[in-house]
Amino acid sequence: MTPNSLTDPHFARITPIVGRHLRRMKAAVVGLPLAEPLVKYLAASGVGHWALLDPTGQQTEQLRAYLLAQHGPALSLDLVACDRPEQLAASQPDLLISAGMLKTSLSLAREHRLPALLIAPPTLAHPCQAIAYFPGDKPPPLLDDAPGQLDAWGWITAAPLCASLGRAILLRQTDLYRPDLADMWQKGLRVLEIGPSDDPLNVRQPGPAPQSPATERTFRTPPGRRGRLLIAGLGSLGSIAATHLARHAAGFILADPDRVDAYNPVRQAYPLAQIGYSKATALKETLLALGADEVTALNLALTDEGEVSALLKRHQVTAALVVTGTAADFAIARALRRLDIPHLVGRCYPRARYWEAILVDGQRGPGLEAIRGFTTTGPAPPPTPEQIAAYSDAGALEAEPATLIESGWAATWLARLAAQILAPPALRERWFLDLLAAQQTCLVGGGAVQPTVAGPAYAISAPGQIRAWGRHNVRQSHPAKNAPAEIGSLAKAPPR
Amino acid sequence: MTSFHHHLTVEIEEYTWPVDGQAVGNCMTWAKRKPEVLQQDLAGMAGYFPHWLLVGAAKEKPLTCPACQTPFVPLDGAMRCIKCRREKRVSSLLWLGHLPLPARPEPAFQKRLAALRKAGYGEVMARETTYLLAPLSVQYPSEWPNVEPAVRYARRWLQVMGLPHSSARHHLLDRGKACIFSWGQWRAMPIHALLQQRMVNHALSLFKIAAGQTPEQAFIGRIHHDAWQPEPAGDP
Repeated sequence: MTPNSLTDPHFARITPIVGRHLRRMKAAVVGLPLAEPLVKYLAASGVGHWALLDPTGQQTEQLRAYLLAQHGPALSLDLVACDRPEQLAASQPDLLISAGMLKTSLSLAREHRLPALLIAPPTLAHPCQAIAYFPGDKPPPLLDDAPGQLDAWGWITAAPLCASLGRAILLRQTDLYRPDLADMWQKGLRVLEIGPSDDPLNVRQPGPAPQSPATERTFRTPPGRRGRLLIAGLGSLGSIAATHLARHAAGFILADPDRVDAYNPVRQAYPLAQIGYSKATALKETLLALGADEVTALNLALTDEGEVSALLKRHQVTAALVVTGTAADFAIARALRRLDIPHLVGRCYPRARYWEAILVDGQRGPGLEAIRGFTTTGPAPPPTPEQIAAYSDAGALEAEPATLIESGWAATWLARLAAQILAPPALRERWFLDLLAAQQTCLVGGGAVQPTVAGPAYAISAPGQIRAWGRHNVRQSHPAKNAPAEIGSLAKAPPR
Repeated sequence: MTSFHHHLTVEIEEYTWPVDGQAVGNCMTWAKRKPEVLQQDLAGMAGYFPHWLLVGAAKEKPLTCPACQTPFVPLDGAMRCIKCRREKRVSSLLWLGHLPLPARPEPAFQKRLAALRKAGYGEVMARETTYLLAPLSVQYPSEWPNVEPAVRYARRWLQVMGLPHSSARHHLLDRGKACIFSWGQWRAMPIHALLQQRMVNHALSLFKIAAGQTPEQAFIGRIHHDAWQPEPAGDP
């Protein structure tokens, strides 16, 4: 394959969303290796010019190898390792990103009048804080740089949101600016607290008093390889989620009938070298390289309930992530429910502006069929340009555009939830048990706030917030089999 | 389990048959898993739209017996021709029928009315109001009622009405499919409620367009409203 033939399709599905502005822009990074996922997310949106604070140059070379493997010549990669922070400023970046080392970075941003994204990654003591700093701002109060124990899942799920903030800062003066963030910044709001440990689905402005209780003692599911996880559908959700779960399951069963195509590497876990391979086989290689123990690749579509049941028994599946993006999700979920296997059914909405995860704890609580198509989840957002184009016979696209930031954020949450369903009830975290107990098992996450005449779409009022809907929001105008017992007419109970 | 009968007159013969739930279940697995859902649809349609028929189809195209030119219907354990009882395997099921809608008084619409009459489309009179009979099909999805059905206008009827087959402004998706829910907006409801709550409004909006209104005037509501766009902020 020649470089040109790779260049064209590679970014085709992100260009409608982020245009080409980012290809010219440069970001400087302080705080490797923690900041590494931000580089990956932003590079997948087209940012190819980087200055990294990396005195040894080792992490820069690892990132270079990864980015070239994933994006090839389409990215026009220009990656420079710097010894000192001043060198970063001298490279005249459009944005300074700092994960930790916040005081140093703030001084640098103030001195050189650089826009900055200052991130305090989540620890067991405090949630992730992301601060947008613009030249001329008063210096914001910073969280202490004292190292705490990193909240690993907290950071995995917060990193794509931080990347989306970084991208919004880069695009703020273009036609692709983020209206919700522009409005927030205009009001002087600069800080977002992402996923406080008492309420990891939430994003909020930090209040004057500490909103988060001391959380070192909040129970976290201990790391470990548990159970055998089926992942049905290995696209932008399944493949990325699998990479985050590589060391969380004792065994994986990967099922997808498709092959990797030239459009996939930009937001799926397949490097360019795997184009043409079956997705299941390609991902098996990747997972084994990431330390997974046992991986079975099935190059097939799971569509028949009976066949799925047989497969589940044969492979002794103990939990499943169902993300085929097709109506086959229902047949797979029915087979899982019949066998009392906890599962999670995920999908992205158009442009991956929102995502949905439906948790089913085996035969307890409502199943997929009682939730999808029955749950009221708040006002819908305006249609995407692609949805409008789809009205025309000629206008429909082969696939919806989305970037790794949006679909990757959905995938990180699906992975985090899958880690919970893999764990036995005694090892699950409080917030997850609360969702199950309240039967609020339909989660809808939104990376941005989109106002509608009936309020923000899906009731998401802060960028990165996740709403939990469920039993109280189920409307019964058609009998739903296996519906929860207390279903009534549309209940007034608000979402979580 | 209540039995619901459908009726059809072909030439001078009248045919009546009980809708066979087992035959529906053999064609659509949801009906086997959830017979109560099918019962509710049959009861609702019998109550509000008793002239509509449940027929076999290949995707959205109704199938007819090559010998008799009559539809295949769920009868005696299979999809069968109502006349010769020939069995046919079908991939989907449609409700076929006419939705009565009050005609508009505007002169522009009278021209359309004349064209519809000339093309042979029916109408009924009730209390001095003319009700046009809009020909529709409702296609069950494989995962009914979790997934929305496809409701389509007859292609020729749209042509006679002077309307496009697909147009964002007219809320018509490909091949005359009515856009009645935005993405993810579907909430399960029986077929008769869908016709009453969504399709009547949709079709009346098309009537308004045929009467001279713009699509934007005719489709009141903000499904396709512009996204909220404050001024770009630059550096705040």
